[in-house]
Amino acid sequence: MKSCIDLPNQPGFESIYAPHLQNAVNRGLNEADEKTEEAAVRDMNSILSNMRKAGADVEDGATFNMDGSEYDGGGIALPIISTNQPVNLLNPTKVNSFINRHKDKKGNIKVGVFKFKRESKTQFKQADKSSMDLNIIIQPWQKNLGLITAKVLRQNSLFDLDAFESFYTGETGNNPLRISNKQFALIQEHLDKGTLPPFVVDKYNKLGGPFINNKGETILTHWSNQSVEDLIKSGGKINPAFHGTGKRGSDWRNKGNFSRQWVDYTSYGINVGKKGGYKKEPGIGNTKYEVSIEATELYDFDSDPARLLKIAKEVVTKEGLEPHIASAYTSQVYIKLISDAGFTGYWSKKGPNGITASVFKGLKPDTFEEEKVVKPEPPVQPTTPPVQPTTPPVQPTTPPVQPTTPNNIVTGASTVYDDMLNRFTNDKAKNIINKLKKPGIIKSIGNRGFHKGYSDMVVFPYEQRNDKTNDLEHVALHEYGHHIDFAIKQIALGYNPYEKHSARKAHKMSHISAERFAIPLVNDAKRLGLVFRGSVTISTPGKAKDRIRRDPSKSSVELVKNHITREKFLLNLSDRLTKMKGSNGDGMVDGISDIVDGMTGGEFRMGHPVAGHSRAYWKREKEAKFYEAFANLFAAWAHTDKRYWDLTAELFPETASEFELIMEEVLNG
Amino acid sequence: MVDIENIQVLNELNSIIKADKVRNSFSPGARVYKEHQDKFNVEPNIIFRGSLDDPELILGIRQAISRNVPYDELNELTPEEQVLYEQGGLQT
Repeated sequence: MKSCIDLPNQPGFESIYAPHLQNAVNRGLNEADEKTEEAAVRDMNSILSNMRKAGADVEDGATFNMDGSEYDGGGIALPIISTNQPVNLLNPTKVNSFINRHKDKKGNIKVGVFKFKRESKTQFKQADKSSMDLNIIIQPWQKNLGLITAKVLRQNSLFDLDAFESFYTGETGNNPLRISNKQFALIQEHLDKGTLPPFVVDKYNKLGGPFINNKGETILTHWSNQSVEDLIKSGGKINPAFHGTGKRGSDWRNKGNFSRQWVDYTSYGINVGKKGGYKKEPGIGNTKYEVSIEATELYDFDSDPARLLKIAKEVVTKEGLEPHIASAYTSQVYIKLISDAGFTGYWSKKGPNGITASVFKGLKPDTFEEEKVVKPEPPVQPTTPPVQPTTPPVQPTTPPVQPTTPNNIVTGASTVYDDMLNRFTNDKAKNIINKLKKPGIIKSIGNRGFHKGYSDMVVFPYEQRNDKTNDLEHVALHEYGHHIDFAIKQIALGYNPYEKHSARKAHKMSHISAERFAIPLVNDAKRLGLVFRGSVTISTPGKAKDRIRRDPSKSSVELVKNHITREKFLLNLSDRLTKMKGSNGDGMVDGISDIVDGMTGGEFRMGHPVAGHSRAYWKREKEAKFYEAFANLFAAWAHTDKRYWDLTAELFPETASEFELIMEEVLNG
Repeated sequence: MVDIENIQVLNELNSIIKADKVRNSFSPGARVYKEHQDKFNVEPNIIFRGSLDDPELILGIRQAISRNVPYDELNELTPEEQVLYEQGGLQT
């Protein structure tokens, strides 16, 4: 026997996804074996005729191309425009007329015809219902976006044409939302880009469930007693296996009582800080983690779109449990069915503190923050002074032990960042960091690193992101270097430019490097042969070749010779840096190549196996080469391994000397 | 009359171009970058620092190509940060 879906052996599970349709498909698969080559694509008339003749309790469906032939390709059908009618009125004229009405629409669109089964004797008194849908065929990676769109359009489900599986939205599909041609085109345009149009996001966020962004993601917030260090040690994920180690929920006894159906989970708050969102309860820890997740990876526990609760009840009834146990057991079986159906977790609004999610899988946090504990008010002091002892206390004969690391960095952010910076920063750099104003915010957002002066924020990862030597060291010191550049400029100005000027104006005056490196960095670039007359227009060997062909004059040849000198230097430097990096790569060497990359407007990285920024990044802002050089110089100067600074000073002597002068001014100022 | 110096310079340029091509053919990052350019007629929009051969970048560009959507790291930023980036107020 062939089967369209290999269902697990869960009791009652077989009825989740349109069983009659599955049976019909399974029958079709087996018949196809017998009639192998017979009519791969069926005729519309016979398809609709079979649908009209099918019994009241049978679901059936077919998909047509816009020329009326049967569509036998794959993908997921997302219904956008629908019309319902009794099944006995379904005929080719009606379907073709529907097709003609939508012929002007572009993209991968198909028409689906679906016959519903009769749910109860009172439904559809005259005849069984059918629907005609204009579908956009989407790909599996767009499923989340498709489900959100279908939910907003009040459609019942998506249909996977490869697996013959329905994905339910929780809507009945009886009264679909009508949309304009413009909105139809917007949906297509956004789905192609992997995003949702603003009107879909707005409508979804008014449904009362998890708020989403334009990528269809929702933010989950988890508080824990587990420190970030421990999280990193245990694999970097918020692990449901730790269920019960924090504050116990009301269901903790179920873990022992119903161990066969138990699924470990982690609790998260949803829509935190937003109206109706989860409000933190006491006793759940002060380390706050945030994770983004595709919204439809979480099952809607309260409205139960796939009717899993009904199956759970059937399972529990069969087991004949005592009523007082049956209720808790049913919930547990329901949760197990959600987990077995492949959902990452579920969300519910029924908790006492607002909307929450229970997640079955380990999730890697995107950001974390250690919240400051609000200390209770100190006790009221007595108005009369305490009686002083008449004898002075005995002085210790040995002086108190001084801390062994008096110069350690304390950023005021999480100690994870302090520990990290202290591990690889040399003493003179620690002095600089401690002397200057600290960033307002230090946080981690995935693997990325950046500096945002507008929010006085430095972003870098809190754990190693790959096997490269010194990768974390470089990204942390580099981004902190941008902050140092910003902090010194504020001393020079006497104020934070973002507090006095528009953001656009403040950006232009926010880094000391723009004025202090303008001459030395250009001089170093000239000395290395990277900047010369014509270096902007003859930026690649191809352009140099064009130039000499177009203009073979002496002066033109001289310019091209300069270009050849530059190419040779870059090749030699690339080889030298590659050797220094070793087989694993070395993040600290990446900083040195990035300085040269800035001098060449991104050509060094484009032509050689070295790190840098894109050509567009350097072009975006002409001062970028100064900002990035400063951050890279700081990283090399601050690292405990002196080799990086030695090479930096050798390659860029004037800039390095200016940088050291700036650091001295900070220490002595 | 053909200028010998011009020919020497052209030959030198040709050997540099050839060497670049050979080097790039061994670089998976350069290959996928070119594939992206050929498909979308635009360079991948890379805003974060790194090498073209960074495995995470290669994977991201490959996924973008298979999804038929140009690679754009701006999408990793919030809308506010995207504006700041375009204005030059965000350094990576």
